[in-house]
Amino acid sequence: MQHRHGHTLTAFDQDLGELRGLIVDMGAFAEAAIEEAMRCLVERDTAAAVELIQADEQLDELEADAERRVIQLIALRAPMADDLREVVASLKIAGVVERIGDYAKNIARRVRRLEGDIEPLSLLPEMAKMASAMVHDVLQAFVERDPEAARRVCARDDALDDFYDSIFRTLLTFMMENPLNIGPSTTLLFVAKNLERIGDHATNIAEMVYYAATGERLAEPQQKGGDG
Amino acid sequence: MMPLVEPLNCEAPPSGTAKIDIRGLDFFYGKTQALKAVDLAMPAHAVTAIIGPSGCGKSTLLRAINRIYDLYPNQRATGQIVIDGKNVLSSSYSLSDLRRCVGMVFQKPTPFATTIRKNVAFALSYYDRLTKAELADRVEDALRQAALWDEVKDKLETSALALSGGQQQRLCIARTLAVQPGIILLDEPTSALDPISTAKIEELIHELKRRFTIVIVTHNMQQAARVSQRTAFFHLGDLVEVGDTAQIFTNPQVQRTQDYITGRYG
Repeated sequence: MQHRHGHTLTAFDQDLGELRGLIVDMGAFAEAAIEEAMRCLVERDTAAAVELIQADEQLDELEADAERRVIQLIALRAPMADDLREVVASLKIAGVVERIGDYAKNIARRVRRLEGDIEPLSLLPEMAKMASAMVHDVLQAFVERDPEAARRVCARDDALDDFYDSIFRTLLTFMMENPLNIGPSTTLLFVAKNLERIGDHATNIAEMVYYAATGERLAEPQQKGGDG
Repeated sequence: MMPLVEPLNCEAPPSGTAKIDIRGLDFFYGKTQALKAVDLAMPAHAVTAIIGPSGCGKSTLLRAINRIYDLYPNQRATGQIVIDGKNVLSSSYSLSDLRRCVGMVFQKPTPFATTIRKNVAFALSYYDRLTKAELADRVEDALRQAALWDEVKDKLETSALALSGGQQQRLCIARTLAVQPGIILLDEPTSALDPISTAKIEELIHELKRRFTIVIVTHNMQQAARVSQRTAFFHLGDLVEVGDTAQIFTNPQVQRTQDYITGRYG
């Protein structure tokens, strides 16, 4: 259902708008963190990686702010129907975005462990782009209360899982070719796994956005791939 | 698709038998139509909340159910209101039978200017031939059911007007319960009360629904959400949507309902 007009109480619209803005800020932060972590990894920029790890605290603070606002909104505005669903979804999405930030942080932690050149590294930025685009698009769907856009993000998770599977096989082959590849390959495997998990979390957000917008649960997509 | 939210407090299944079955109800004040072809079934032993903006027909619906409008020559209802299998709008249905089975509590407490005991006993002496002892029992029963007994048992012979607003409202509920109706209509029963008194009345409603079928008209949507199992939303004389209360407040199916309950109306 679309809204023909705002709330009679405009301060309520303002509160909801600020909460939505905060969630979007968190998403942008997480998205940038994924990209920066990958840049650090590719360029072996350990100094920047350390900064990125420390910056994750800011995302935790944004999450705490979102939680505080949600509790206040429920207490003071008593939201109903789609407003209630959106406010609850915001709280859950904030938690998930914070987890996505943690995965970016995990990737940054791997930077100093990665020694020597390893060819499959060139595959990872592409995978990271897919994952961060899912995060970007699902938050866009949230802002626009667009259930169909959320559904499309869900559908993209399969491609990310396939990407992960192919990287997994590539790295396995690498490790079998030369035992010296095992260390860096394992590091890359962790990174790929983190990116794959980010996709799963974006999918979870998409389900929340879909429910907030429609009041219906999005049918669970078939579980496939992505383990290893 | 699975509903995400299950009704929280449905002791009586909403799908249970309808105590009040309204079919094709039209209501007119002179030439003005206040209710338009309303079909609404209200389940037994459950609370049905009627919500909607002023002038939507909420109170008119209660007026139709207990036929208060009979007193006014320019007001008429057509269609059917079936209670326990009988159309109470039919002229052959006696008004005193209806009064007996449908009790009503109004927005402002309306105690009679007499003692607490006489307030409750008043209607009893009208309907039943009871001995003094039986009468005393029925008064006590009604006051207990209205959760007022402990507060007034030592002052039954004092004036009802000396009670607080919340106590007066519970006294009015006791007076209604005394004649043992099957249905209780509540028209904004707490709008004149403080939050504590309101909570007591709401708790009372929760208790009473085990034995009675309750219809409550309220402007306070939180109250509708708290006390009812079914909610019906009216707008400009139309029944726009009716459903389980949890569904109406989390996932209404009609745009007008959503606009109203989220505060986007108008």
